[in-house]
Amino acid sequence: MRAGDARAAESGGEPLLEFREVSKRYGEFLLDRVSFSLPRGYICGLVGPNGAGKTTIVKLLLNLVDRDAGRIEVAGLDPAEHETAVKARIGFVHEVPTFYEHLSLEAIGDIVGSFYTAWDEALFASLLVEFDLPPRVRFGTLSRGMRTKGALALALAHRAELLVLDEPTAGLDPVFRRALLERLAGYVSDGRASVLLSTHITSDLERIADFVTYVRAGRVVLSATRDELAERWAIVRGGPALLEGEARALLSGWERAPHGVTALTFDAPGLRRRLAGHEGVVERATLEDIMFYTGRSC
Amino acid sequence: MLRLIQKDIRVIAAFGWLIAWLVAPSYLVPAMVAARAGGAALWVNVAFGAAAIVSVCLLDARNGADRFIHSLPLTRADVVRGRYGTAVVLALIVMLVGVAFGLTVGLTSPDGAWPRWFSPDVGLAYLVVMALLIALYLPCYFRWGYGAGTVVAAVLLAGLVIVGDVAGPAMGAAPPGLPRGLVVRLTVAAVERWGFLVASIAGTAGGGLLLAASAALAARGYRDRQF
Repeated sequence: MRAGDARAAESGGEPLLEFREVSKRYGEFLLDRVSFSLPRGYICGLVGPNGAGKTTIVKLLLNLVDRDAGRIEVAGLDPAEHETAVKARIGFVHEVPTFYEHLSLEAIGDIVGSFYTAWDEALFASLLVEFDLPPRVRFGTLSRGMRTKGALALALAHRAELLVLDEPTAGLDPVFRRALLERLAGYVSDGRASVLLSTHITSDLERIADFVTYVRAGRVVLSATRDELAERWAIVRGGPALLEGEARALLSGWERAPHGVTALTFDAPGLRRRLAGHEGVVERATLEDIMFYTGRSC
Repeated sequence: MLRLIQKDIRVIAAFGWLIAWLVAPSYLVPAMVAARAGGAALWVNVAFGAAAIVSVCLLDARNGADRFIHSLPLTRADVVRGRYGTAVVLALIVMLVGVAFGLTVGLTSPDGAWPRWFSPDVGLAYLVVMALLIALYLPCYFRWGYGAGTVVAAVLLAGLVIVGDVAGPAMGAAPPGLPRGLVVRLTVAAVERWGFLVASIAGTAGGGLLLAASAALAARGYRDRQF
């Protein structure tokens, strides 16, 4: 049994976050019937290229934009109907954290803390020390990485049940990036909280994500556990024959090279059976492979 | 709402040194000139009250505070109510500054006479003007954001000032020392007719109703905003 299974059992199987058939149109862009869920005690990676709809998903969660259709629930509550109760449970870290530039983290902490009943002043002070953040320096003078650390300290200090991080590791040094990922993994380990991590850095997700939701052009291409991804998605290298016959139906995308074809399959066991006795090598697909090859046919 | 007002005050109070060294002298100089010119001190106060309210909105816009504010456990209606509360508090603070200035002018006057503009009826007129200003500006700000909202409000306000300036003289010559403006004339006339207590109750109730209606309009406009 994985640690996550124990966490799921502890949470009673109820998802902490659920998107059901959520749609939103912005001019030409359509976020189209997005569905995924995140149980308590897990980390879900939201991955996709620029303009895929990841930020729109975060905005919908924040009520920054209205949805056209579908349902969103956080701990069983719709953010549009129970905005205050839902936001009290969520900690946000935006890609470029914005607070009042002329105020210090200490002052921002005082302001933010006054809005949360679960605010832990001592925890906030200890996080500032742990993250090596100067409490009395103006926020506007901090580097991008330090701003992210500050935003994370603010989100953690009110003991959020759901941490939503939008590209938090961009601009962070490798040492703190790894420390941040370890902290996020530790944050969900007691099964109380979950993390939704939107990022381009797929290696971060491979390190800590229990679930991965891949969004492309406003649609969810896949939403699966990391284990399911490893079992079912694979890179296959073979000759041109790979694109002929039954095997082709199991491919999500491919690229022709002078000496053959490199393709992505969403059914690695099925493809292995069909390739039995034929030329072809099946290898584990990374998230980057999945992002690169999905929908590609050239 | 109180926490939001505290937030706004704390955000603007961080510029205390700027207020002390730049805003205060720039208040005092025109106020001194206006006091001697006979009554325009009221409009200096109104200008500074408006500037204080717009500054809070400017600080939010400049810092991209929308995302931060929307991540807090608040509804959009809470945010609107908080900003109206802040605007009223700032208007009252600027009024206190005007009172302190009026006291200074009166006490240091060689003939010992209090200036006409330093009187309860003009104070009431100041509150009515500020209520009108807040009721006009904040719905524009919440509906269209700081930039476009401020421009729309400024255009509407300019129209009101022109109407007031045209209509004011229709009421006859203003008493000496009384600030110009239709609202001032109407408020002073109401105080003369009904007495200060009744006029101030009516003014406060009217201003309150105006602000409540304006806040409802602002909340509606803000609810429709997409970020």
